[in-house]
Amino acid sequence: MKQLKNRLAALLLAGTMVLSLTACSTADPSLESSAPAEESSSSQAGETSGEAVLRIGTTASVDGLNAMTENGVFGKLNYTGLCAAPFVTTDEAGEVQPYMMTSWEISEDKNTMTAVFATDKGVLWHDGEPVTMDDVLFTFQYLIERKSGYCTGLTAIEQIDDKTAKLIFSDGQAFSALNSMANFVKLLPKHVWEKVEGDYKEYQGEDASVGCGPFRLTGYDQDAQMLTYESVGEYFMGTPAFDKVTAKTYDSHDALVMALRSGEIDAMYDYSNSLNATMAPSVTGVENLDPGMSDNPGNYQLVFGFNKTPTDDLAFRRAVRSALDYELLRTSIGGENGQIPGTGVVAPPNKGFDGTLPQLTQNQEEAKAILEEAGYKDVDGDGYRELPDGSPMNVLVTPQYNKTRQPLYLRIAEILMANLKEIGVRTTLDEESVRNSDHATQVRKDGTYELYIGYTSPGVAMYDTAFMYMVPNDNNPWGTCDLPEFMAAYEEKQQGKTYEEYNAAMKKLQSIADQQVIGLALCWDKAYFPYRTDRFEGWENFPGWGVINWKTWFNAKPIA
Amino acid sequence: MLRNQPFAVKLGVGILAVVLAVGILAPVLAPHDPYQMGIPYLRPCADHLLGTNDVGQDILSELIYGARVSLIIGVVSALVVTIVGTAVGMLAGYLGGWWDRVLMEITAVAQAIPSLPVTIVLVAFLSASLWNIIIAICITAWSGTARIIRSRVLQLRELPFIKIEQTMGASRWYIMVRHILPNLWDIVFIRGVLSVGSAMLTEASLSFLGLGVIGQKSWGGILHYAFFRNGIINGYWWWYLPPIFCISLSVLGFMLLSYGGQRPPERRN
Repeated sequence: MKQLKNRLAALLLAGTMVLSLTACSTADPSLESSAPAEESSSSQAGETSGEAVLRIGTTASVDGLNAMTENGVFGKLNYTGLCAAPFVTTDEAGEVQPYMMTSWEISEDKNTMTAVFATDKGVLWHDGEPVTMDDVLFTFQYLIERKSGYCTGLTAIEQIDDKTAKLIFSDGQAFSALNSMANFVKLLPKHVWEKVEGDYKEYQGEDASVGCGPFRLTGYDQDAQMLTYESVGEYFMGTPAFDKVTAKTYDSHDALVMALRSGEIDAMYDYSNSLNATMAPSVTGVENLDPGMSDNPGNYQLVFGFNKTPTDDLAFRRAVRSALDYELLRTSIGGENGQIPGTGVVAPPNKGFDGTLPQLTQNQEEAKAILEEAGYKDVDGDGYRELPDGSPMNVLVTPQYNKTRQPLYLRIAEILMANLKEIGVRTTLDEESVRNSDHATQVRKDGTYELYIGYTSPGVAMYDTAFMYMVPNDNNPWGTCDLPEFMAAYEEKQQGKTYEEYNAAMKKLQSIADQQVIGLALCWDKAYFPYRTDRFEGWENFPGWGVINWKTWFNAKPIA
Repeated sequence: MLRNQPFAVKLGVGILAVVLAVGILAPVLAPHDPYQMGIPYLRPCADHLLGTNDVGQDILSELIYGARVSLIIGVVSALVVTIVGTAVGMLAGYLGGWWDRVLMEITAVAQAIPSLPVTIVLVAFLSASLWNIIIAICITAWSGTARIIRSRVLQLRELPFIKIEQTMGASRWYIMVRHILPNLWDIVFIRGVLSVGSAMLTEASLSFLGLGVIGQKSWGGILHYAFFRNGIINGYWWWYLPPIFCISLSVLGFMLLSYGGQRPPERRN
C-alpha cells in the first residue's frame, strides 16, 4: 500500500512538473531567444573556411537528380535557375524576364518569335562543354516532339545564326507559350542527352544533372537528405552571391520551422507550398527571422458543380454566396493576415486582377429570401428546404483529397455545412472522397460533385488561374462550368497575345464569376516563406514563391 | 463494499465517477455548444476557460462532450473483448482436445497481428463510424484475455471439486457456467477494466491520426486538430494539454480500479 502511494505521489509530481514547465514556457515565439542560432550558424564548416554557404530547407524529397524531370527538390530548385538555366523566368510581378533567352520579338500575328540566346556569352555546361545553338535546337525539338504543355502551339524552330533562332507557333500562341514556359523550360545539353537511349526521364547517369546555371551539383548525401551545389564563378548574369548552396529535406514544415528558428538553415524553399497561415505565429517576431510574408497568388475556393442540381441554378449559387461566414473563413484559413476575398475569385497578385469588384459579405436574410423566391421552400416542415419541384434536397460537400491539407479542408467543410444549415439547406459530407483518393479522382473526372472545396496553388495561379478548376476542357478534368461566355473568356485569356489582351480577358472572367457565381474564393491568404536575416542580406521575396528565386543567386550578399 | 477496498481502488472509482458524470451531464456542464463556431484561436479567458480552437469552438465544451465518445467506445469495446476472450479461453481450457487446438491457433494468429495497424486498416476499410471503430478495436484485442483465462481454467479443471462434479455426471456446460466461471471473476474483472483503458487509448490514437468519426467530438479528435492545425508549434498549450490530461487520467482511473480484482493478501499468523 505504501509502495503504491509512493508511486502515485511520484506520478503526480512528474505530471505537475510537466504541466508547470509547459505553462511557464511562453506561447509567443517572439519572446524566445535565438541564441542557439548564433552558435549554430557560427559553427558552420563553410563559414569557418571563409566560404559563403547558403543553407536552404525544404520538405520536397530527393527524388532523382535528372535535369529532364521536375521531380523532388532537385527538379523544383531548377525552377529557380540554380543548376539548370531556364530560357525565360518571371520577376516579382509575374512578368517574363530574360535568362538564357536574352531577348525576343513576337510577330504581329503572334505566330513567330525571333529569339536571341546567350550562346555567345561564354556559358559552359557543368562538364566543361560550351553552350551552343545546337543545344537550343535540341531542346526545342525535344519539346515539340513530346508536345510539351509548356510550349503549346510550338510547331518548329529554325536557326538564323549562332545566337538567333525563329520559333514557329500555330494559332497565334507565341505570347502565351512565352509566359507558360517561364521558369519551367530549361536549356538541355545535347551532348549528354543525344547518347541516351530510351526514356530520358529514366536515365540515371552521373551527367544527368548537368546544367548551365550559376551553380553545379557537387554532392548528394542520402543519409542527411542533402544536396550540395558549388558556384561556377563568373557567370553571364553576374557573379553568384554564394560559394556553396545546400538544400536539406525535412519531414514536415514543423521540423523546417524549428531548423530555421535554431539557425540550422537560412531560408525555406517549397515550390507552391508555403507555410500554412496558421503557422505564422511560430515565425513572427522571432529575432533574426523574417516570416517572408507575401500575398498568395493562389487561394482556397468553393467550386459549384454545373452538372448537378441545385448547384447548376444561379439562384442557389447566389444564396450560398450570401450565406457563408467569410470572417470566420478568413481567420480559420488565413489567420490574422487573411483577407476576405472579392467576388471575382482570383487573388490580388494575379495579372489582370480586378480590384473594383465587391468584397464578399455574409447576409443570411438575403440568402433565405433568394431561396424562397426561387422556390426552395420547406414544404414538409422539417427545418430543411426542398427543391422547387418539392423533392428532397441534400447537397453533397466534397473536399479535395489531400492528406496534408485534409484537416483544413474538413474545417472549411464544417463551416460551410453549418452556414448552409442556418439557411435551411441540408448538406452531406462526401466522406468517401475524404478517405479514398480513387473515389475522389473519379468524382472530379466525372464532374459529379456539387460543392467542391479545393485549392489553387501559387504555381497554378502563376501559369493559369483559379479558373482552371472551373472550366471544362480536355486537358483539365476539373471544371464543369460550361457557360458559353465563361468558356469564351477563358479561351481569350489562353490566347492572349499581349499583357493587355490577357488582362482584359482576366477582367472579363472575374466579371462573369461575380455575376454568375461560378465559384467562390474562401480567403485571400498570405504565403509565408521565412528566412533568416543574420547571415545574408539583399533577399527579394517573390509573392507566393519566397526568397529562393533567381534574383537571390546574384543579388544577395553576406552580412559583413 | 468500497469501504474494504484499498485506497488505489477508491481513487480509481472517484476518478471514473467524475469522468462518467462529466460524460452523462455534458449538456448541463458544457458552457457552450461544442459545435458552435465563434472567434478562432482565443486564449483562455472568462468566457472560454480553455480558449477556442481553429474554428472558434469552445475547447472546454469539446472536452466535456469528448468524454462521451471515449467512454462509450472504451466500455463497449471492453465488454465485447472480455466476453469473447472469456468464452474462448473457457472453451479451449475446459473442453481441451481439438477445441483447444483450433481456438488457440486462432488466438495465436490474432496475437501475432499487430493490433494498431490492423485497426487502422479496418477503420479505413469499414469507414469510420462509432460501431465500426468498436468492431475494429475488438477484432484482435480479445486474444490476450483468452490466453490468460485458458491458463486459469486448465488449473481449475484439475481441482478436486471439479473432478467430483464430473464424477457425479454434471454436464460440461453446467460445470463451466456454475463452477468455472465464478472462479474466474478476479481475472475477468481485471482484464475487463484494463481493456477499457486500452480501448480508449486506441480510439484516441485513431482519432489523432484522422481516422475517427468525422465531425464527432472526442479527445483524440481534439488532439488531431491541435496538432495538424499548428496548435503545438504555436505553443497553444490550452488546446493540446487538456485532452492528453483527460485521456491519461481516465486510463489511470481504470488501472487503479483493476486493483479491486486482486485477492487480498493472506494473513500470516
